[in-house]
Amino acid sequence: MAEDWLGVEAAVSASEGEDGDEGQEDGERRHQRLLEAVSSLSGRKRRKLAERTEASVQVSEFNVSCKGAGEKLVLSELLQPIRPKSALSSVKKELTRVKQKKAVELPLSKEEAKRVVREAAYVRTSKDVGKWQQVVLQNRRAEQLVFPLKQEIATVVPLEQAASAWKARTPLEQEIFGLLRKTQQPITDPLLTPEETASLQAMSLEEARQRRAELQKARVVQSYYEAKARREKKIKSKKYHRVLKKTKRRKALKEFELLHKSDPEAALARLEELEQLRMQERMSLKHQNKGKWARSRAIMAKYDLEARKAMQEQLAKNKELTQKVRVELPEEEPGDVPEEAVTSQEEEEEEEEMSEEEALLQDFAQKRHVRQQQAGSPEGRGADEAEAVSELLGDGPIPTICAEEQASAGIEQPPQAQEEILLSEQLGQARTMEDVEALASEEHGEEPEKPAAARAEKQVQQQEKGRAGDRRAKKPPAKKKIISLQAMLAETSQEVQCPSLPVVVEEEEGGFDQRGVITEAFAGDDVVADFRREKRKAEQAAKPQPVNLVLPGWGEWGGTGLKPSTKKIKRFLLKPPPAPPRKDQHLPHVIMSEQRNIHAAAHQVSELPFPFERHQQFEQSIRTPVGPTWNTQRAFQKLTAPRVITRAGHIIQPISAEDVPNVAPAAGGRAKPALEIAPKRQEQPFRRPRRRAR
Amino acid sequence: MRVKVLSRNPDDYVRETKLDLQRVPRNYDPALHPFEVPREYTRALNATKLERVFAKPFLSSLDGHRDGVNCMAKHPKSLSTVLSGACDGEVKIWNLTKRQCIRTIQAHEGFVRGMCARFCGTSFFTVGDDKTVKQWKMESPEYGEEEEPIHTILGKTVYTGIDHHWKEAVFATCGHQVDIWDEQRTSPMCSLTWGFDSISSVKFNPIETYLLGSCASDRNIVLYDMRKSTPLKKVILNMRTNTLCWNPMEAFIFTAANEDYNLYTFDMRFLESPVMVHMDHVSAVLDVDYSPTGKEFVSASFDKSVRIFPVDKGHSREVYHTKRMQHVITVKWTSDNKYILCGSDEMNIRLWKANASEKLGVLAPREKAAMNYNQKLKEKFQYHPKIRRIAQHRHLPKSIYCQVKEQRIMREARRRKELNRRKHSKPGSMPFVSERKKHIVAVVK
Repeated sequence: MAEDWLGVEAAVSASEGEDGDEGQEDGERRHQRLLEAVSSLSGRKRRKLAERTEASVQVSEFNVSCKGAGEKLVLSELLQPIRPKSALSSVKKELTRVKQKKAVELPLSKEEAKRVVREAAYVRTSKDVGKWQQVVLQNRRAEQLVFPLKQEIATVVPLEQAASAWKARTPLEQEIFGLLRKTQQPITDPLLTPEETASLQAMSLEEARQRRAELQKARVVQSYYEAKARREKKIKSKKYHRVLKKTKRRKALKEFELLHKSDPEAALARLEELEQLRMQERMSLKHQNKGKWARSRAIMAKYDLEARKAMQEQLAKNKELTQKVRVELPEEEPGDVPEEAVTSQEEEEEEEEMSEEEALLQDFAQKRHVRQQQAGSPEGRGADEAEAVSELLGDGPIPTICAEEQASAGIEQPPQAQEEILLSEQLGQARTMEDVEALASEEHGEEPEKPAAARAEKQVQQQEKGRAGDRRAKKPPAKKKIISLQAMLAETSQEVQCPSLPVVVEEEEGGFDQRGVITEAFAGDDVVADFRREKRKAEQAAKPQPVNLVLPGWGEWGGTGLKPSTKKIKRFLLKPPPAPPRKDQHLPHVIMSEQRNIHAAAHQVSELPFPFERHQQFEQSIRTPVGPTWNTQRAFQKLTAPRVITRAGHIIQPISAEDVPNVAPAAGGRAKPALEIAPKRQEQPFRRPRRRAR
Repeated sequence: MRVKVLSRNPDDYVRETKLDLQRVPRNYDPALHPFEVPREYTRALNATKLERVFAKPFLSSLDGHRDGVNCMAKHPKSLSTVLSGACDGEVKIWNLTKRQCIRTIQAHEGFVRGMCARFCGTSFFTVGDDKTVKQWKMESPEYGEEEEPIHTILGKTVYTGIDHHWKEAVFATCGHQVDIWDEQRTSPMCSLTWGFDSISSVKFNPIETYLLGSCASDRNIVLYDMRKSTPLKKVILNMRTNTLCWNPMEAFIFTAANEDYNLYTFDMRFLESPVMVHMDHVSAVLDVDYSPTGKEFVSASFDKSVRIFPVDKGHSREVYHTKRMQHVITVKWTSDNKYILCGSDEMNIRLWKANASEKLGVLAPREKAAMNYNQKLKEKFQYHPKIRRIAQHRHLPKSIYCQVKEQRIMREARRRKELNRRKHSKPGSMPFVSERKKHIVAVVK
């Protein structure tokens, strides 16, 4: 950059020198010469222009006067002398190559060159400046701007920083400091760690709020789960817990199997754990009928069947837990066939059991649900109670069977299954609908095809019909014997979609004249009668209306269903004086509106003001009140917030790239701006469209 | 026996301390508060009237100069300090809170043509008719010390204006050419020329600080880029531009004060036509300065008045004048957006409020709320003719009033003539030229 400056400077000084030489007075020239002499004294080297003494036709800029100035130099002439010498072959080659090259174009004139530079610079600068476009538009549109733009964030100065400048001076202070030092009290202990200070500066309010919300949510979820666990723990039913435990175990087993398939190693590790458990069980005396409880049971066992059963159960459990788990390795498939068969049988049994368990659990859940509903909705208590009672009496298993059926049906027809899920919430009806469906499915056989597919098929058919109306005779597929509601609905909708195109075409072909069309188009209109009706309506509307000032309840009994007395109505229904005769009284074809009030017009806005596009908009803006009489305090504050806020005694600096995050620092414009907008024609922000209001 | 009585929670109606405001339960049912629009209209009307009643913008006059005030400069760091240069070469530094001159320097022989403060506020520069550029310390000299400039640069020609770079130790002067100087050197870093005429003002762009704008007496406005040390583009207007000022919030917007009584706001990317023509003055506009918020600007005119224009409006929102104020030569908007300073021919600097009816000093919250509400109402009903009439009414001195009238007649006559000409010439031979394009002669690349 510095060299550039220097270069320019030199050029300027040179040009100045030339200017001086050209057309100045004698004294000026002498002065100039003196200046030059002085400047040469200063030791600054200048190229001295060789003085010309001879007048020649042309002088080159290097002060070489040549004789054959007008003649052209031909390259071949230069080549001639070096022809015989082979040593100069390389030179010759170069020269021939030069000969083949085209002549360089003339450089641009100084003015032209400057203009090119200027244009390039202008384009670049306007591009650089254009990156402010977004910011500027944003600020222009902003609801509120607070100046100065750079708001200082108040940070807490650490105590040790504030205290570092302070020194103990008075004897009391010194004494205290001495004591503190003696006890090695950390005076300069960083009260705020660097991280804390960083977080203080970095954590914005928004972030903090977000974080707080997250924490709150997590806490809520946690408390919810806690409550759930507590609730479940509270359930006293042993059966429920037993069933629950069993299902858990089943689930664990299933998971283990899955794991065994997907990740054998992890399964092995799991197995080890199980083995550990088994070992523990073997060591412990827990399930061996030797505890206090077991002994008491043993006494009872003689007479009580249940006690005996419990003991046996315990023993069975022990057996189960101490049983060694066999490891099935995938390689041993062929040898294990019978075993597998056995296991499969077992599994079937288990599944049955499981379904029962599930059914039981569901039963529990339903009961709970019913109870909750009763608690929640006192209105529907009566009906629900009856159901609950009936359930309690012993028709519990029926819904479970239904549920099974639902599940089985769901596999076959997913859309119907969805419906059932919705319906299952209302117990009584679900059953009946289901029965109907079951019946239908029995009758249909393979009927239940997906309705979407049916619709698509239908559409295709309809299209075909549209193209060739004759083919309408074609029979619908024989499959449809039973009319389903869905199909019917689909059909009716399709019927509407069917275009009536061919009819229109026929009409066009028939031909017609313009007048006919017009008369046909306005066949039903009776303009004169319409106008008359309109005028009558306007007359009616312009008639002054009686003013009703009747207040029910004043001077007599009031209340619902009571009407004010006729006497009162007669007294307080004020009849206005008759209106002056209308101006269009004797003009049958004219309606003259007398709505416009000239006196009010002086106070009304006659023209739609600029930022509004439609008069409704403007009217709306006037109609909404902003005052505290009609708005709450907060709304009032929001509505009356000033557009620009400045703080007294604060200097407002010009906007800079630091104030605006998305404008890259304009460090010489070298850095590519983050957002670059091509300098396109700016949409006129200041234009005022003139439009008339009503 | 159980007696039922009305009972209320005292928390709902008892104040905690007697300094608290009384709770006023309110019912916002619109049926209870009818006639919203008429009531608000009345309030708006009253607010507008009160605004006019309280519009007393003139604060004080700073007298002390012995010749017309030719230029002023704001202190970049201190709101209470203002510098002014007079036609007799005297520079005064004023304290606005005390409204006193705190320092006087005989800076130049002849006019002080221009002055500017360094961005850090430690020193300031002046240029004068004696072909010198002088740099001065901002603090007054110690007792016994002589009042002397830090640096003096002797130039070959008269400098007519000066402006300092907003971030670097670089300043620009104008005269026969625009020179850009390093503070440490006695010769300019580079000189920018385009055409030969005296340049009356040069201004650095406050946002994109490498940009410069200048206006010359051959009616043109030229933009320069300091990085490439090249001019960028030139606009030739109908008449001479006296000064220009860049918008401090919008990097590409600048406003030019023209001799033809108008101000032109340009977007530097589209110089073919100004974004806005601001017309209201009745004589040459001599100076212009933007408010630091970039929403408005103030202009000083030869017609002895100061006007405030919103950037996006064609007409002024305010006109300031006093009986004794002569041709206003220079004007500044203070950096806190609160006050306006104008220096005029009759040796005085006047301090005005930027918002004529604003109450100065600390406002109570209720006062503030009321003020905001009134402002909002005025805005809401500003298009209603009666309110607009009151809000727009300004008393003008007779000279300006007559001038305005005369100009209106002239403009009307011109319009009529054009209309007639158009009527009597071949259709299409007299194209319509918009007001914006009318004043631009050419844009030179």
